[in-house]
Amino acid sequence: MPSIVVENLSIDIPVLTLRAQSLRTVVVAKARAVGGTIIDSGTRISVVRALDQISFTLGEGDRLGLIGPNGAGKSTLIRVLADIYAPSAGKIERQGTLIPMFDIGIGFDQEATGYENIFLRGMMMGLTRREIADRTDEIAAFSELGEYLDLPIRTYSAGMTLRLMFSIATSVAGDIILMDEWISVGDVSFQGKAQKRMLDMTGKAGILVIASHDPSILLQHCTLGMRLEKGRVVDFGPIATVLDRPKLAAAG
Amino acid sequence: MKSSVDTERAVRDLRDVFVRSMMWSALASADIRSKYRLSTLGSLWITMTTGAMVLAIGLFYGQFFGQDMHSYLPYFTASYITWSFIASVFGEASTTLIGSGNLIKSSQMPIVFHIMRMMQRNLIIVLHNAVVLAAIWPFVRWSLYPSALLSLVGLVLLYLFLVGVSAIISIICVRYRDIPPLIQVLTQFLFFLTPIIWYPEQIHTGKKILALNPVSYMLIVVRDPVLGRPVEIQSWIIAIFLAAASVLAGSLMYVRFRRRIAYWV
Repeated sequence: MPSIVVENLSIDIPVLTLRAQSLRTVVVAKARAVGGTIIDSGTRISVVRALDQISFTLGEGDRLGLIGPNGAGKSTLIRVLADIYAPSAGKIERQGTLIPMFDIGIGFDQEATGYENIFLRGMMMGLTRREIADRTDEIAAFSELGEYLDLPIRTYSAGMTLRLMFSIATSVAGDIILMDEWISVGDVSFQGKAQKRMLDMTGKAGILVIASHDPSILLQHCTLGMRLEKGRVVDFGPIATVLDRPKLAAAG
Repeated sequence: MKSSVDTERAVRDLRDVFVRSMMWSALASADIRSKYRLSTLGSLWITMTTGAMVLAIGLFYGQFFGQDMHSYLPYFTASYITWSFIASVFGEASTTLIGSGNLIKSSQMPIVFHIMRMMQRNLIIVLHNAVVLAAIWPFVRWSLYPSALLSLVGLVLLYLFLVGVSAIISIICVRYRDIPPLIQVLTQFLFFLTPIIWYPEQIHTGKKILALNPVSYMLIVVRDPVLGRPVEIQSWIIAIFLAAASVLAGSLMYVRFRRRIAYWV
């Protein structure tokens, strides 16, 4: 039974200025600070509190949409859920396999063929050779790229590349699927298939978390919504309610 | 705020280095294949370029310094091949985590895998280069004893030593961005302090300082057995100790700082 329990989670991100990243500057600044007036050498590290005491629980069947302006903390939160950032305070407990889907094009080799890229991506997602082999036919069929899969992907059009990336990315199944700002894919004929595949994948997941600016995507895939502002949760509830609330507030 | 969860996760990553070795080794092979994909000879170019370089420098230096070519050419070749492995790893370690920033922040790949991928790539290259040494044997015919196989043991020790050092270097470099050029300078400096183009027997004064260079020992245990040069038992002990200490230090560093890497990169 997949679950995510987040308690008083805070994330402090150190902002390393150019000078703070230089060992020489840091050492010299520390040497100067001994027994004298404090000189601002620009090496102090400022910290951004990206998430401030967030708590929530998700269980089997929950589909959460993260809403909020840029910089609110959606991407940070989703990366904490994906175990990429560790909490600075508070804790998070997860049960179930994590499938992070952030950068659809990550790890692609332009000079390699479609099939080789399917293998590379599979490797990066942690699949075994056998698992990749089992999925290849299905991915190839879904992408409808046919013989093009034997050619290097630098020969593909942008739409074809997206098709391949999408087919590979959505070929995995997992308990907890995390998506950050996914774009809608491909031409009109592919879009229908793509939407259905997304719904299939998210439907099979135990828990889904999507961060997006697009209300239609959120309404289509999510049951719950969480609105973030400056790292804090300002609203949590059924997705339609959370999406509509600022409009109500503005009107009333 | 560190916690046991972080330590557990880091230890799991280190264990996965063995359990999921397929991931980083397959990606390393793919990297090499990709680099030489459109060339006529493919990855054989690695061997060709080293071969050409070794031949040119070995013959030239040998004549210039009046060395006996029969002993100097294989000596220089084996030294050069081993040293390029070391220098390449030092250099790539300083940028590997910085360059993998995208993967670190978007995927679940254990961070140590980026280091192992880099190590594996360089191992593939050194194995390509070793062919050059085999290729000159028919011309020079130095005596090959069964103890030559000890060079493989030496290579394993060197690999372990470099894994640990890479972990340390790459983590420091992700945090302090002015270190990579420093590593380059230090590597250049080390080149002259290590018996690569000269024989250790040639040095009289300054022997004690040279004995402090850890890279010398790692180089000697790889190069000397295959050339039939005797290696003191003391050098083996030091090499084993250095390899173990390096792996330990690298692992501790990884466990301590792994959670910070995603914030620094």
